[in-house]
Amino acid sequence: MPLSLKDQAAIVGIGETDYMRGTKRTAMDQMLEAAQKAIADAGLEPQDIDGIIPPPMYTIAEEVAANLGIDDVSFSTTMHMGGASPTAAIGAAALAVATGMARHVLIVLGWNGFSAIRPRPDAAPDRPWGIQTLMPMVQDFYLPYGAFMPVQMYSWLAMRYVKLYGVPPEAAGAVWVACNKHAQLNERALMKGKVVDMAAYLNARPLSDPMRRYDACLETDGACAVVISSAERARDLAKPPVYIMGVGQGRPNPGDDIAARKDLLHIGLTHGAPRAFAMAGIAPHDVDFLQIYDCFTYVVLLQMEALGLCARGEAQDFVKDGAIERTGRYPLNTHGGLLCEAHVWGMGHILEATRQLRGAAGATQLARAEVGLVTGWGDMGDGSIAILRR
Amino acid sequence: MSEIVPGLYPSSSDPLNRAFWEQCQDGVLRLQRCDACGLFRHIPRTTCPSCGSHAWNWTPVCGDGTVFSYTVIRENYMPPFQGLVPYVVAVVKLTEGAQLAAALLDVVPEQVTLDMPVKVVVRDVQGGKIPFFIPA
Repeated sequence: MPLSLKDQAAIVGIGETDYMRGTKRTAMDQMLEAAQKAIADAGLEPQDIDGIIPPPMYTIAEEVAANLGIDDVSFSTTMHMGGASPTAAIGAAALAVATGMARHVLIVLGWNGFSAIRPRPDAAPDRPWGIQTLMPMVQDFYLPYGAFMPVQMYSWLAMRYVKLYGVPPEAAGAVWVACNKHAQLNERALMKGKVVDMAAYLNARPLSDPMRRYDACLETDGACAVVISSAERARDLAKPPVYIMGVGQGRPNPGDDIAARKDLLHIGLTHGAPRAFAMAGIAPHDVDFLQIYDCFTYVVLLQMEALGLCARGEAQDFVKDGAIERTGRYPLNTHGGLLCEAHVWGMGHILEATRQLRGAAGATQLARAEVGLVTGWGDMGDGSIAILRR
Repeated sequence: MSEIVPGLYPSSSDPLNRAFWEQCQDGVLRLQRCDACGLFRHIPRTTCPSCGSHAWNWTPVCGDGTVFSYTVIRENYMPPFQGLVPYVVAVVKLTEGAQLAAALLDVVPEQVTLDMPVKVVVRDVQGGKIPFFIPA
């Protein structure tokens, strides 16, 4: 009988910096703060960490270990899935702690997504990005036609989706409105105090049809970290364990070029979600909340369908009537998401799910939070998922 | 150059990708065609994803296709695209089966539809010639 990862590992610590639009701090500096906080949150010392999953492009395990004073790193890997990387890293960390390759794995990610991506006169210099597989494809085949921003590339997915299934803008708007409402309860959220309702969403300036301004997420500076331990060790640590029931990842085909896909709506999560639910032994409709990667509203709709919450083309009905707001059956992104809290590659979704399942989410706490899911979306539609329980 | 079109010749560091653009310079769109199974493919790949063959040739396509998807780009801060909005960038499905991204010319953005027939035109842009599509 094959080994199962189900419930063999848990999230035991979380940490984050302030989320900002404009900072003089380097990404590395912020990552180390988040890492230190996550380790302390678990009731651990840095020396207890023996596994490190750094983000692609920004740092390496050796540098993280040197800064934190960790002298023995028995496990390290990096997920190269853009924004799907953090949630995919949960699976890799769970594998490592469940098999004994590591006792406590630190996942850390931070960036200056506001200050360093676009040239800004007042930005502090930060190190250049490293190599990744996505950029050459974009530069060589999409940029020649002026389509190189994610909002432009993803609009090919969104436009075909909208036209094939008659998806009204109000469906994507419902995703925005839910995240915006939820952010009003979150002190950390950059959109707290900035209410943008459906009428304002619909009237916002168009970016790349069918996407409008509020279909796109925030650009922010900040860092987050998570510590993962084996279920056995987790029970002796400072905070209630959040058990990892199921994990999965997947990639579209081809994963490095959107234009060549025979089915633009077949995304990474289409492959990854059934694997995660099979591991967890539950159905999509068994979860109490959804933390879905929301770099853009339309990719949330695609992911809802890939998760099996509704059939293809039916997310427009699924999101109706407040069903994805905190008073509905499937609260979405109770912290506000990338759309309205901050964009730290979906690490915020993992932290919020952990807080919800600990019963420690404060103002955003849901009445019922036994089981929840987190998804990641990255690069050209890579997908990852983690199903978590208290 | 008779008109300003939303295009820019790429300066690729990848030899295979660079070859694709170089072979368009005589005004003909060619894609990789597998010598073994005949599959047309794009973007350029080292091996055939269908049969695994490493043998291929740049082979002219008829240039006819349909709009598989598209977006109307209404905001872009990068020159030369900055002053050209709105413009349409489509995913075109060629008769040969391969699909590629390219801007549509001579269209009214609001009149573009899925499955609209289009045909290739190769036009001058800054740095060289690249393929575009116009209504068929």
